[in-house]
Amino acid sequence: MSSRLVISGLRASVDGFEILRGVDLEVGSGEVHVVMGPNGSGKSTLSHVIMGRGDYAVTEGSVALDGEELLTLPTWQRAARGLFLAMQYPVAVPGVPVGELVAAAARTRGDDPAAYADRVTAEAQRLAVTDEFLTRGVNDDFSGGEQKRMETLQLAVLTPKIAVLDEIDSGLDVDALRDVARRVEAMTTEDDLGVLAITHYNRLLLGLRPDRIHVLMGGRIVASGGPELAGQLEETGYEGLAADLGVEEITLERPREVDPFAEPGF
Amino acid sequence: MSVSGIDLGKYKLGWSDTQDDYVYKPKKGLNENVVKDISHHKSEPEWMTKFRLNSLKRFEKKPMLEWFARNMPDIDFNDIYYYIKPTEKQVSDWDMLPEGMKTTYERLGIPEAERKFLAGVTAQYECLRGSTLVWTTDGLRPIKELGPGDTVFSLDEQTKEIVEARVVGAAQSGDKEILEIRARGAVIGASGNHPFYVLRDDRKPGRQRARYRAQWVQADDLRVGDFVGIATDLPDFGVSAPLMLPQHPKGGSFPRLTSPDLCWWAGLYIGDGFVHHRGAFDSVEIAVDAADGGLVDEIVRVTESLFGITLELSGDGARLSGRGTAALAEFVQLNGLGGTAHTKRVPEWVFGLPLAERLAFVAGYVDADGYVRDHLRNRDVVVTSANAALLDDTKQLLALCGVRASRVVEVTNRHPFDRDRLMTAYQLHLSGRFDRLPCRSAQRSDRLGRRRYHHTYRTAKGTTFTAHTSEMLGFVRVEAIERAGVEATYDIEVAGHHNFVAEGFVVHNSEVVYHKNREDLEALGVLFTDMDSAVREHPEIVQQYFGTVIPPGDNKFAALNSAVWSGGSFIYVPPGVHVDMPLQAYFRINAENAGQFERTLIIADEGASVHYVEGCSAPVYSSDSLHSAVVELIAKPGARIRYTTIQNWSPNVYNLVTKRARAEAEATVEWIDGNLGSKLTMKYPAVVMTGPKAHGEVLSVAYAGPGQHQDAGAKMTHAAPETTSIIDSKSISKDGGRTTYRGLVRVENGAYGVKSHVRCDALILDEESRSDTYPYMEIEEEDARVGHEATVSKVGDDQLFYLMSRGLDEQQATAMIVNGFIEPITKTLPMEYAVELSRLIELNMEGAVG
Repeated sequence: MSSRLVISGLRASVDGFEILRGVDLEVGSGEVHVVMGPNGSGKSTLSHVIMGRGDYAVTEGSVALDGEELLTLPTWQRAARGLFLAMQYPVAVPGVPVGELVAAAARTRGDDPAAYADRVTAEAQRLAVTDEFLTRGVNDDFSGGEQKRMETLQLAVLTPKIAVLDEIDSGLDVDALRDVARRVEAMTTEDDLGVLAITHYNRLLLGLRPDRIHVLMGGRIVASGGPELAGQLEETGYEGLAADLGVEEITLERPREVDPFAEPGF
Repeated sequence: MSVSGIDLGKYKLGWSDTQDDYVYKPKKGLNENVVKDISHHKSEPEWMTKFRLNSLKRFEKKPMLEWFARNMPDIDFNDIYYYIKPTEKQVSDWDMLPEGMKTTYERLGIPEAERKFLAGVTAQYECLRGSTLVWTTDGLRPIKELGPGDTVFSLDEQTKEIVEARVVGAAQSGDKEILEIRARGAVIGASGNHPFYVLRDDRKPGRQRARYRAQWVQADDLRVGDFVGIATDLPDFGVSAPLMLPQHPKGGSFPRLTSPDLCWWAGLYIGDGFVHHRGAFDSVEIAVDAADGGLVDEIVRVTESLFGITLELSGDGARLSGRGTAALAEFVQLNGLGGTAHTKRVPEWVFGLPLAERLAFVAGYVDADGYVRDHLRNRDVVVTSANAALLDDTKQLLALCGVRASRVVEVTNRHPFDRDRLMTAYQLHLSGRFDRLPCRSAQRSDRLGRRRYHHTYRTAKGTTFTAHTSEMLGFVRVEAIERAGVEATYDIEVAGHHNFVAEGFVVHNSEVVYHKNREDLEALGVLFTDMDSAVREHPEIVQQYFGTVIPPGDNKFAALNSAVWSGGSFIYVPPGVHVDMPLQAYFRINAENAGQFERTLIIADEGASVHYVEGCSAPVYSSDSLHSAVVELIAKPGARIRYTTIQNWSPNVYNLVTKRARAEAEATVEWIDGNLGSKLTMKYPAVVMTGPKAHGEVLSVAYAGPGQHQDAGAKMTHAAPETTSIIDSKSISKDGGRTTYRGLVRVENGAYGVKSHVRCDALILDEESRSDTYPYMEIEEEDARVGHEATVSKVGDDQLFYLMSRGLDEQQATAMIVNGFIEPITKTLPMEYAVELSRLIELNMEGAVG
């Protein structure tokens, strides 16, 4: 069955500061959309708001999957509906190997965990994830490349309808990037996965073969186009494009993120 | 005495006793008459009565401690029943347990083990040595590396087929004496109680015709000449693997996925291929024997069809090479086929391929380095190489293909031209079903095909033997059984058929086999009784040790316990005896306003070992209770004691326990302590190391929910040289719960070469909860290494969001983070206790999450 994620007029803010200022996007099954934008343009906020992270207040708009509004659902139910977020900085969960994690996810879906375990094994092989990383706590002491391979592995095992990939190309080497891009690309063709990839580099595009490129600046999509748009960006840079389009606000001065682990004194 | 501030509704694991049915219930309060009464009712010898009365005096003399008055304002020593004799006898049967207790066990998900225990039997673990290779879908892997999620092969006794089976549990099962069983070149090391699949002749006396019956026989009962089951083939498994492609695939095209052709080529390359460095360019060359024209043509054909590269025969006819094969050289490197004749290995990805591709790989290798011997009576395949590791890899790969291979043997030959020079090479002999190898060299495949004798492992004269065998299951005679010393052993639990294939043998898994506990113990000379009986029945041992590790004057609560103690366990293990199964006891507080003052004494004599497990629970009464136990452990030279507690008192119990061990020379004492229940716990298990090279260890997990304070820690006293200790403490606080680590490491003057390491990690689940760490060190010796590390972390929104984005709800996600946090402790517990501990924490959190 073909799925469709529809984001319309999405506005969100943190501590009263508006970061998304009316975003419209549509991603269908088998499609690859890439959102590009400079640092501080609201890219990561977009991915977190779609998945329902609590730190953001959605003030307006809608995120709907196959006609069902997701914004009223908690994160885990969005996942259950077929949404997946591969994170830019996947957090470590010591003592919880990836097998246990997907087994628990399988159980909430009412699926057989054993089947998922088989898929973990098969995907680990496809993604060149060695046993060591399957037995260790997920992301615990992983390098950037290993983290992203692990995110891709979970994506492939959980087989969502739509995947949001938040800077899956950052912090990994050429080999890992190739493996990851190749696997995601295969899922779009074989499993009809719809992809919304967020990045500020061009290099992910080579492996992913996007259908549409969107440029996010100042919390809005300021341009959309085919793959050629990426080439244009490469030449002009974000500032050049902004000048061409007459966009003034390129980046947003965001309030600093609060790291709960940085708090001293307890 | 009233209670306030405890929300009993939140405690979900307790039960209530409704009847007040006791044989003897003295007045509340504490005085000389009460103590005499207790002693009288227990028919104790005079020395114990005196001991109690002296202790009472000490208790009265000791000042009330300030912290006690502050922390435990509700406890009134004169409002406690110090001794109640319940009608309940020691329960010996599941059905005799109170209903509420049964419900709790059911909720914990571990009723089975408890039922069996109460029926007087205990779990027993069957084990294999850690290096034992188990056949898995990832190739042959040592048993100690296996865990839940791995897939092994298992015999379906009905169909006699070998099928895939999932591993559901794994555990290190201690150090055991190993028996080495040898049959047809295979060797396996197992503990004496490990069952093997055996065919035995059950013919009636006088009958000629044999009647073979398949049965599970423990290694101890195996005899030379027995037929043991081996897996002769495996079901197909595996998937074609993706291949790494060169960055610049100039001058060739490259397959993205493995195929039989590609695998045959790879196997051949492993044998005879190499990369020739020609200036700036690398090129791939393959050594060939020009006389085998068919093979040369096949190599050229396959290389062309796979990579679009044309290889040509060199002038001397000794190798194939091609122009512009730099990309192929890169392809070879990228996919793990690189290296020299001495360093090449079978790449990891080959082991997970489907059978046809695995066989193609081996066939390619045999085409390169193998030779089919054409004996009159039989044929076999010999593979010769200078690279022993590569042959070992091949042997493992063959085992996964249903082809048997010998050990890798070393052969020495004289150099053909220089007779003084010796050449060393290695050989592997293939037997069994090697005719399935799809070799492409006519010299080899013809001989394989024309084989006259098929090795099947299922012949035995004049029997109905073959009825028990199949394409996948055969039987071979045991050739030797030898004792091989003591080793660390492991076991796994397998879903479905409860057996697996290790080193080729079909062996039973650790599905728990229960057997009569007490009788076995008695046979070993182990004494295991309640403390009250021990005073009467084993006075000579009790009197020698009782109160020597924790004298009555040690602290006010030790004095109180010494005066009014009742219940508890007594264990004596004679020199050199190893008790395999954990010994267990459960304690409970029987009546409202009752004190629980049990007293436990464990002595492991020289070189002995024992693991004792206690669980504690109490029903929820409306007023507070006091639990003040004393536990003394004595580990004589070289002995080993592990003491595991899972404390789950209801949240109106004050839990003050004095636990101390004496570890003599080279002895080891481990305290494993799980504290979940109680209102306030103050417990600091101690090890006093009095002999050189003694070792002490405390592993503890504490969970504090609403209104709870877990003040726990450890004390290590290094009183002798080269003693070592480890303290590993984990605490979790939630909903206003409070955890404290309080620990002392003391190194006495003259105790040189001491090493100690303290690690405490705290996990705080919300803003209202709290955790403190008070590490103390008293070091009087210069030559000592004492380390301390502490971490405090909060379950961050990041971790929760991460897990929830994968589809887990908040409660599951929190439970998962917590279980991951305590994993370093749970993995040291026997399987069922690990489950119990995790489950208890989950249930506690559930109660709190509501």
